[in-house]
Amino acid sequence: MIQLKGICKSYPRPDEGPLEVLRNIELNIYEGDYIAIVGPSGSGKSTLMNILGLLDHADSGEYVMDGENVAGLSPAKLAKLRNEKIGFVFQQFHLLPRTTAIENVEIPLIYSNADNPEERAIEALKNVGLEERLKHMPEELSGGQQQRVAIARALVTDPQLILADEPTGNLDKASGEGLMDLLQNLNEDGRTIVVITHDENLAKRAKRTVRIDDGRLSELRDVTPDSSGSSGETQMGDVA
Amino acid sequence: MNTKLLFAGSARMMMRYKMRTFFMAIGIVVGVTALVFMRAMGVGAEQAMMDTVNKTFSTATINLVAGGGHMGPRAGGPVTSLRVADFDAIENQIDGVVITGAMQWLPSEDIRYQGNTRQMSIYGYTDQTEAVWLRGVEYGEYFTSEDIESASRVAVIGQRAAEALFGDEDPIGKQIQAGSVPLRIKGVLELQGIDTHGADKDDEIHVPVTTLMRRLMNVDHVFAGRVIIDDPDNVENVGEEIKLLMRERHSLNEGEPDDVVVITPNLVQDIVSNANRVLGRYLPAAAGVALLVAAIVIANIMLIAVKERVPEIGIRKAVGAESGQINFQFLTETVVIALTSGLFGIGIGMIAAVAFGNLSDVPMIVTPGSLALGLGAAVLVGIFAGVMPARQASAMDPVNALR
Repeated sequence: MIQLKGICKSYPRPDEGPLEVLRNIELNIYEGDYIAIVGPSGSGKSTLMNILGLLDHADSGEYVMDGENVAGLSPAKLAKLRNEKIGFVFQQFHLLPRTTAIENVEIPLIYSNADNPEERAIEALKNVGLEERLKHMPEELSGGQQQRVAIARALVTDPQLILADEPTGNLDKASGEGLMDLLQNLNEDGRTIVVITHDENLAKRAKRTVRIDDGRLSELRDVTPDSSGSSGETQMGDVA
Repeated sequence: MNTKLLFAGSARMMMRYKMRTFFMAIGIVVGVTALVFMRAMGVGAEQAMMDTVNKTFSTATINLVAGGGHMGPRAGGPVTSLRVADFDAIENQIDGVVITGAMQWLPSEDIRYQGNTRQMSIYGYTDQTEAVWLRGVEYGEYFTSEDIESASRVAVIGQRAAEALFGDEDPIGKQIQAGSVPLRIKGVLELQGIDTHGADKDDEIHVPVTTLMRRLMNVDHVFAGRVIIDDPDNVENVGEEIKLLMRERHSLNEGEPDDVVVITPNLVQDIVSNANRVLGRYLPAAAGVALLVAAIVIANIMLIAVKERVPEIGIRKAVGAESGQINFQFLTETVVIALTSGLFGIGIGMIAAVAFGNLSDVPMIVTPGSLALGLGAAVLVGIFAGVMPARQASAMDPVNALR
């Protein structure tokens, strides 16, 4: 569903030459894919995620989503694509404080014209196992529960692609495991998932792992979507 | 965009950040309350003054004052061209005129009775005064046409003046001395109180206009007069005819200014309502200053709120909000607070105005227009205060906002 061809991104620096964050990134993301992006801090993972999420523009290269080159699209059209096709999950959850789980999950529906937003929000919360916490404020929920609310919010517009940036980064081990199960279930239901992570356990669950180092991308394992059953076997870090 | 959800969200934010909302609201509530209250005071004062004017100048009344274009003394001495005969001519020659009355005025004269002396205004009126000036005697009797014709040495007296001169004695039939002229009291005037110029109408005496001219002032002109007509709608036309007739009778050439001021009720109402604009408009403008301060406070609080809500703006943009929608949301939140505060303000202002009107003598009138003005001002403050913070929120880069 997504093809990245020759994506480059750099930021100007005051005293030195520009900082090249992404160099000539080539990546195909297929429908039903589950990709883990790994790499050290500052390697360009987050920049790649922002570009994938249509929050940032590449300096050069081509980003084609469902056959459409996104480079020429207006901010309004990009906002619409984010709303309809992409669900975001963040390390810090980014839930609105003093706002109930339902109200948080409803937010994307403000910007689409969905009927029955409340029912859809409740449905999404049920799908992440939070039917008992519908009217709780984020302050009243555990970290794992908050991240589930965030996933419900990402799912409520029924997007094809889920982009998760360190989703287990702020969770304890048990909650993290629960979240990984949830992402895996979503993938098994056919949803495409791209996750940035330091967490080897999470990366292992993905069908493919790509590594970014100094702005360059390399594929550690490549398992085509239709042979996902054998994905867990390959070792990480065996590609130099 | 689902605006219903967005509004619900704005309303929730108001309820959940109570302190913030309170500080944003308080300025508008106070400002709008003051606005509605002062406007009620202004409209009440205007109405009260109009009532007085209408009582003094009935709509079918035209007043004439000797003088060209302005009242009071003027260079070259008093205008001496206005005569009692002019009023007879107006009554006889102009259609629609019912009755006229000439008036002369001696601002101050020593009035003596036995040992008492008192300075008073003496007015000279005709026997038609009850019909023309709407004031008669409380007891005794007013002048007759014979009194006018023969310039009788008679007078009627205001009640305060009578008390001052006669104490408990009955003034009727008593002889007083105005300057060197002896006058016999025929009657005591109805109470009238203080007039619009501040003169005490109960501390004056009336004599026949002819008596005042010939015996007391030694002049043959009058100072002013009044014309009553049959149709109030016709007042401007008759006024014009009177002007022309006066020019003709006083042999004024073309280009010479009028020597008689013709005052129609419309003119008086214009002057009075101009004066009232100060009360009705400029006083509420003071409340505008309070609202301006409120706007600045709100803008500041919103700017801080926008900084606090950076992640929220980031997440909204990430899930599909366009910049314009973020702008709209923040502006909406400010306007919703402003509108709600405005509703409280007009409510409190209305109750305060009615209560104050009932507890004091100050006339207070709350009009729907004043309430609309208060609400409109509140919304304007909301928009004014919300524009900049909303623009700042909408311009935020989601990548930075979510970092």
